[in-house]
Formats: sequence, C-alpha cells, structure tokens
Amino acid sequence: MVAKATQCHYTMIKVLVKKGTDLELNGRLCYIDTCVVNGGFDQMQSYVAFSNVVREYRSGGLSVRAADGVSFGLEEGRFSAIVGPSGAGKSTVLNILGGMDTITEGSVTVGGRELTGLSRRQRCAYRRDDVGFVFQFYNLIQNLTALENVELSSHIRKNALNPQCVLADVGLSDRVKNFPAQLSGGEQQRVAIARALAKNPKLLLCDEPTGALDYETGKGILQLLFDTCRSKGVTVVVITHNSAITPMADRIIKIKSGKVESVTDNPNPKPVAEIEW
Amino acid sequence: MKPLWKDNLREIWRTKARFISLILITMLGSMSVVGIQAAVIDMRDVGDRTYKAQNLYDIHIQSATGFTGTDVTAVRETSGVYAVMPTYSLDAYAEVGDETVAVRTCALPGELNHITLTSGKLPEKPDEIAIERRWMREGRLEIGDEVVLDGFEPFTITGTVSSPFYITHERGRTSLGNGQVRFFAYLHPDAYSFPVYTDLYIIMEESRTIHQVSDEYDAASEGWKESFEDIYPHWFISNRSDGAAFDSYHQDTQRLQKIGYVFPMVFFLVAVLVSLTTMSRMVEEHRTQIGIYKALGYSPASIAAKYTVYAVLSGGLGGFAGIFIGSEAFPRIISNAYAFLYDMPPIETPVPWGIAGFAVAAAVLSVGVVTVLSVSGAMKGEPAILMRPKSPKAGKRVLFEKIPFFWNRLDFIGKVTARNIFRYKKRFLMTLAGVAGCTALLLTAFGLRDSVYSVAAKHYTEIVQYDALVYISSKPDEPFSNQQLYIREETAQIEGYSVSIIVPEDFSALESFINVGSVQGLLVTEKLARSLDGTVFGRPIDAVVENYIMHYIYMPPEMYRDLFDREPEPNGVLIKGDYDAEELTAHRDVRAVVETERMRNMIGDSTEAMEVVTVVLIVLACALAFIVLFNLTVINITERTRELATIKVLGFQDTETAMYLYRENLVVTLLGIALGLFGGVYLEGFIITSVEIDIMKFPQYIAVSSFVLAAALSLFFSLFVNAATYRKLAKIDMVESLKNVE
Repeated sequence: MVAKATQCHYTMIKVLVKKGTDLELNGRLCYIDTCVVNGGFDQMQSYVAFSNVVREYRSGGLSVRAADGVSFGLEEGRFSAIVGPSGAGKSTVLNILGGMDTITEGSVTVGGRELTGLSRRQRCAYRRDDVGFVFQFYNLIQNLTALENVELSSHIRKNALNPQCVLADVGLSDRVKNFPAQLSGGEQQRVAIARALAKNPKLLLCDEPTGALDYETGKGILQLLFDTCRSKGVTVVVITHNSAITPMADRIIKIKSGKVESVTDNPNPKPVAEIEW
Repeated sequence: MKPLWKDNLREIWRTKARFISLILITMLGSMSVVGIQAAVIDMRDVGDRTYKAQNLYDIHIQSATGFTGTDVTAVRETSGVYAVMPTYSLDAYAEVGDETVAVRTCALPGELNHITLTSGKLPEKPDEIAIERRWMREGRLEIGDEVVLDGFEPFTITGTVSSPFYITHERGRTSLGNGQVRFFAYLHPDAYSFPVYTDLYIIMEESRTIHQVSDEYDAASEGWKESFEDIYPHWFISNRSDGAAFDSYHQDTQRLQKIGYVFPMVFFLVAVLVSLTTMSRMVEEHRTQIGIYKALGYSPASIAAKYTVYAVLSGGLGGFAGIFIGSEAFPRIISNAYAFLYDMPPIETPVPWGIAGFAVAAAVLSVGVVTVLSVSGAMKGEPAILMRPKSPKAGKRVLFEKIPFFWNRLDFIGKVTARNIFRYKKRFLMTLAGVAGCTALLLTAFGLRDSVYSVAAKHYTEIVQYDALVYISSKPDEPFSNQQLYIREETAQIEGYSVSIIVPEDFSALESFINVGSVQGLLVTEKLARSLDGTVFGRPIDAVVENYIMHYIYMPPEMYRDLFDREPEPNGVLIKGDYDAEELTAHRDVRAVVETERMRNMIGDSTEAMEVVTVVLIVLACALAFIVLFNLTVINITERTRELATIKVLGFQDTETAMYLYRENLVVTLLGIALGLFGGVYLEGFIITSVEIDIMKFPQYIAVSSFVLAAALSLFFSLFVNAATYRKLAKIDMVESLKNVE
C-alpha cells in the first residue's frame, strides 16, 4: 500500500500508515521502518524521531530512568518546545538529541540518520556538523572575545558561516572585540547563539536559554531564536520549565516523569511580544 | 564520628590521586632536605666515633734530635694533655717487583693510634713485620714471605694491618726518592735500635668531649698546636689538619653540606609552592560546600579544620616518609660514593631529628597556614553568595596582542593558546619553574659527570704531552729516548696544598712536554694561583697555566739556584714517544716509571664515584619534574573542566580537545626547558666549584649531548604527563560539567 501525503511539516500528518508500507511524501517515495505511537495517532517518521527511548542511569545498585519510553517527532525547520517540571527528563532528551548522551533502549533518528549506534567519534562529528547548542549559563570561554568565541566553533567546521556576519545577525556587530565579562547577560546569550549558528547547524538546541535572564531580555532572546528558525529554516528545539512561553512554538512536547505526556501542534503560534508570564 | 570528619575521610578517599600526589611531593621535599644533611651528619659521626675509638692523636711532634724520657715527661705534664705516646718511625726503601719504593715504618702503637689487624697476627719479634694489604697485593706477597727494607735485617710477614693515619690512598711525603711514600708497615718496637724516640703523639683532654669532625675541633686543634709551638719552639708540631686526609674528609663533608643547602632548597620551595596551589585550588572547588556548611551553622573554625586536616595530614605523612627514606637511603648511597676515596667503617643512619623536625614543621606549617587563609578568604561572603557560583575570571588582552607583528602572524588557535597562557599566570609560572628547575637539575647532573669525566681526559691529553715520567737516582750514561727532558721535581706545602716544583734542565724545551704556554719564568698552575696573591717564594708569578690534576710550580734552573742556593740535580726524565717500560725499570739508574696512560686510567676509575651522585641527582630531578607536572596538569584540567566540556560540545574530538590544552603545556615546557638550560649552566658552575677536591680542578665543561639529553628528558616528562592525563580529559562528562555552574 502506498499512502500519499503532501504536507511535510508544520501540521502533523494525520495519516494512518503501517510499518513496512511506503509513503509518498512531496512526490518522493519513502519507506516507513518505524511507526511511533503517540497521542493515539500512528505517526510517520519525522525529521527528528524518538521512538521508545529509554535512558537508564545506574549508580551503585540503583537505576533511575531519566527517559522511560519517550516517543515523539519534530519537523524540519520548525520551532519546537519541550516543557515539563524540573527532573522530568527534558534535558536528558535534549542531550540525547545533541549527541552528548547515549540511550539504553529505543531509537533516535535525525534526518533519517540513526544516532543509536554511533561511535564516540561519530557522535562528536555529528555535534560538530549538525548541532548547535545554547545553554542557560551561556558557557562562553571567558578568555576569548565575542568574535573569538564564535570563531572557536567556525574554526572546526568546513562550511561555517562568517563569524562577523553571524554576530551582526544577532545584533552584536559593535561588541565583537569585547570579552564575555564585558557583556550583559543578554549579550552573552546572543554570542552563544551566534557561536551555535556559525556552524550552520541543522539543529539548534537550547537548554533553558532564558533561565538566567530577566523578563525583557529573555523575550528578546526568544524572538531571536524564533526569527532564526523562520528566516534560516533551522530546526530549533527549546527546553523550558516555563510553559507560559509555549504558545510561540509550532509544536509543544510535554514531558513528565520521563514520559511524553502530550504532543500538541500549534497552527498559529503567537508572536513573542504578545506572550506574558 | 562527626559528619565533618566523615566528610573529610570520604574526601580523601574520593581524591586519592590528589592526596597521594601531595604526599609524594612533600616526601620529595623533606627527603632531599633531610637526606643530604643526614649524610653529612652520619659521615661526620662515623669519623668522630672512629677517631675516638682509635684514640687517634690530636698533636704529633717530631724533632731532628729525637725525644728523651725527660722530654716525654715534660710533655705529659703540659696543661691540657690527656695522654702521650712516644714511639718510633722511619722511612726506608724497599724493592717491590722491579721498583724501588719508599715505605713508612712505624712501631706497633701503645695506647694511641690503634691499628686494626686485617689478617694474620701482629709482629712479636724484631724480625717480624705487618704490612698493608695494598703492598701484599702489588708485591704478590703472602704471610710468611720475606721482605727486605733498606737498613734493616730481612723481615718475615706476619699479617696485614690498616692504620688510623691513612684514610685515603695518599700515603704522605718523604725525603726519600720521588718524595712519595708508597706503602706503610708496622714493626716490633725492638726493631728500631734508636737511643731516642722519633715521634710523640698526644691526645688532649678537651678533644675527648668534643665532636672530632667539626669546625669546633679544628679551631681547638689550632689552639693546641700554637700553645705547643710556644713552649717547644724547636720541635716540629703538627695537628690532624696538617695530615691532608683528615682535613679533606672534613672538607668533603662541608662541600656536601653546601650542596645540601642549595639543591634541596630548590626542591623544597617547589614542593611547598605546588602543595599551596593544590590546596587553594581544592578550597576553590569546595566553595559551594563551604557555603552549605556555613548556612548549616558550622563555625568557620570547624570548616577550616576540614581543609587544614587534609593539608596537614598529607604534608605530615609525606614529610615523615621523606625523613625516614631520606635519612636511611641518602647517607648510604652518598657514603658509598665516598668509600672510593676514604677508608671508613660503615656509617650508622639515625634520623637527624633536628633538621627533620624543622623540614616537616616548615612544610606542614606553610601549607596549613595558607589553607587556613584561603578557607577564611573563601568564607568571607554570605552563605547565599557562596552557594552561587563564583564569577569566572575575566578575560583580558595580553601584552602580546599589542605587537601586531607577532599577533597577526598567529593563527586562531595560536592566539587562543597565547591568551590562555597569560591568563593563568600563577600556574604558568609554577609550571615554568617546575620544568626549568628540573631541566637545570638534569643539566647540572649530566654536566657534573662531563666535568668529572673530562678531568682525566683534559689533563692527560691537553696538558700532559709526555708519555712517561722516569724517576732516576742519577743521570744515565746514555739518554733513554731521543725526545726527553731532564727535570728536578721537589714537593712543598704551599697554602695547604701539596705542590710539585718542576725545574726543567732546559726551560724552553718544557713546552713540548707539558703544555705550559710560551711564557718562560715562574709559572703556577691555576687552582694554586687562585689562593696566592700573585707571588710565590717572594717572586712575582710570570704566568698562570692551565692544569686539572695536582698543583705545579714550574721554574727555570737559574731561579732555583737563586732561591734555594743549590744545584737542581735532575731526579726525573720526561719521555715522549716509544719506550720500553720493562727495559727502563730494569735500568740501574731508574727508580720508578710513571706512565701517563696508567695515571689517566687510574684517575678515571676514581672519578666513577661521582657517577653515584649524578644518578641520585638525575633520579630526584626526574621525580620532581614528574610530580610537579602531573599535579599542575591535573589542576589545569579540573580548573577548566567547564571550558573543556564546552569545546567538546562544540564538536572538538578528544584529540583536538587534548591538543587545545597540550599546546599551552608544550609552549610553557619549551620555555621552561630554555630557561632551565640557561640556569643549569650557572648551577653546574656553582656546584662544580663546591665539590672540587684539593688536588683537582674540575673544568666547567658540559657536552652538547648533555644539553640535548636534559632537554629531551624534560620534554619527555611533559609529553608523558600529558599522555597520562589524556584519559582524564576524555572522561570529562559534558552533561554534568555544563548542567550547573560549578
């Protein structure tokens, strides 16, 4: 059986398919090798697909499941938010997606590529070429200027973007020669975003990017992330415990106790300026 | 157990590597401070014990006319005298193999100057003799054999003895032959048919209670000598310092003591500095914990106690381990090296608690105090502030960037490396000091060996040009060789040195036999000249000549006649080119043949003792380098875990991450090596002049291979430590390091 679909992202493809069948997507024929059961829908393979992901941490005789059968999909070029209370397993999901952590069971694919069996070296190469990270505490190298921090990531990537231009894009063209300590929190986070973007990544993963910032500054950063997603077509994933900011996302994945509670699509995301928390 | 103490014990267990490295580094510091000084003390003590057990003389009196019973009684009643022993001695020629040599004979002693029987038995009749082992060996003699001494009836050998007078190979000077005593022997007193005693040996009351290998003894000894000289002005009075061997034994321990001040100080300082860095780093890491304890209401004293206990415990353990190893191993190794030079009984190795206590107390106190200071510094803030992360050290432009010529030439990674090196100045300087210190110590050790080894080579190839020195009783009818020079050699005591005066028959020919340069006149060798004021025998010195072994004065025959008012009758011949040693020795006018090649080998053998000292230095320097580099590299990694985790997240492979750090280490190491090679040249020069012995001048010579070897070893250690810490780098957990602010 060949199922036909034309809509590739933005809204979930509500098509009933079975494993082992073919799906014609935007005129291309795809083979479905994994079906993710989620929210009562059979869901076709997305750009990012988590299926039954289990991550178990062992310490001493105890084992803790930080992710306990997580399944969801994310669409390419969209802005997604992973929300949930602290300790729910959001960061675990992000770390796995970013190639910083491995999984115990299940499978993770990004752009059709299986991350599960990657070696340490291959995961490193994946981080280098496909992923950009933004952290709550920026994690800039204190001893390098804004420009040099960006160069640090462009240095190791072949088709990197021009660091100067990226810094200009995030609105820091006049702060390139400043050290992190000479920049405000918001500015530091912009440098961090520029550093992630300079690698021209497919995925931009942000772990509580506004966590250390004040309200207004935080909004500015979210706006920047959203604009980046729309203008450059980068797949952006933001982790937050603040569900107030979810209305701006295309898709919201709620996680609780290591499990996906719900996946909600948002056909009309609210502009950041209109959100209040 | 109180929770804080439990916490402390767990901390030690958790940070085993750091705790052990603190122990090791303190151990190395205290070991080097205590070890060398302990060797000095042990060597002096064994001298003191031996001299006292032998009832060794303090004052020795000789007289041209001998001593009567009345003289002996007079001396015995002199104030301060504890015991007097009148006795006989006489130097006589003996035939050993084909050679005629001078032998010093003494009467078997009474209560003073105890000898030790090493085999057989002592002479019981006037026609019996006990000789030294060396004579037995070189003369291929056995107990029961007969020996003939000029002026005596033949003797039968009853045994071998060692004499308290001779603690080195040197047997002293004589008026016979070439001026050198070759062997000693002991006779029954009745063998001497003298009407008077030839020698008086005296022990002073005071010397029985003072340490006999000490400056105190030397000073007292000079006093006794002077007072005897005042009372008995016609006698020839000498003390132990006039017997070169006793004096040089004391001097050698003084030299060792000097090395023992300089070397270990370097070690100790580096050890203390590294422990300080480690402890202040530990307190820094525990900032949050300190905040928690403070918030829980623990007193500052009890919080500080945790870290102080950690520091004091590691310092104390290391310090005491160092004391025991140092005071046991070092004296044995060092005295073993000196056993080539001095014949002394085995040392005892008690712990020198004075110095040991000082070393450990200094280490523990300095580390303890700094720990308390850094903890109290860290505790200044409110608990809430402490529990928040400390703001990271801000980045800065480095001076280097202001020189665009260099800066623009650096690639991106080069710039990052330059900035990082200057950012962590403290650790940068510590690493620099560590590597430089190690390289300098290595170069000194290798250079010491070069210098000592080159003594024989330099002296016997560059200075001595003749192939044999033949001692003669009178000028032969036919010359020995077509290239020969008659000389007169005499010995004299000048400025405490035993000096050979060489008077060639034709001074202008001397240059081709001994490299004395082209100046003719009164020539004095280098080291002797240093202790003279430009004149000798009241004449101005015309030139100072290069020389490494022994001391010489060269003068033309006219000057000799002028000074001593007698003819310089030749008693030796310098020969160049081929000669037949056997034929020469058999010649009726020849007394002895000294072959240059043999002398060269002999000196070479004796300098091998220095090899031991060299090896000790090399091992110590390597251990120091390794521990210091390891500690600093580990601190570097832990301090920058977050930074390293960040670049790993950015996608730096493990090797790239390692190179990010190693590049800095490598630059600092190379700088340290350069500095160390430079400093090592000076350190070697200093050490060389401290360890020189009287008869030798060590040339300050360091082979190119030693520079290469010292640099290569330091580099190897640095690379090795980097490789050893690679796993630690690879194991950095990105998720954990970036989750919270540390």
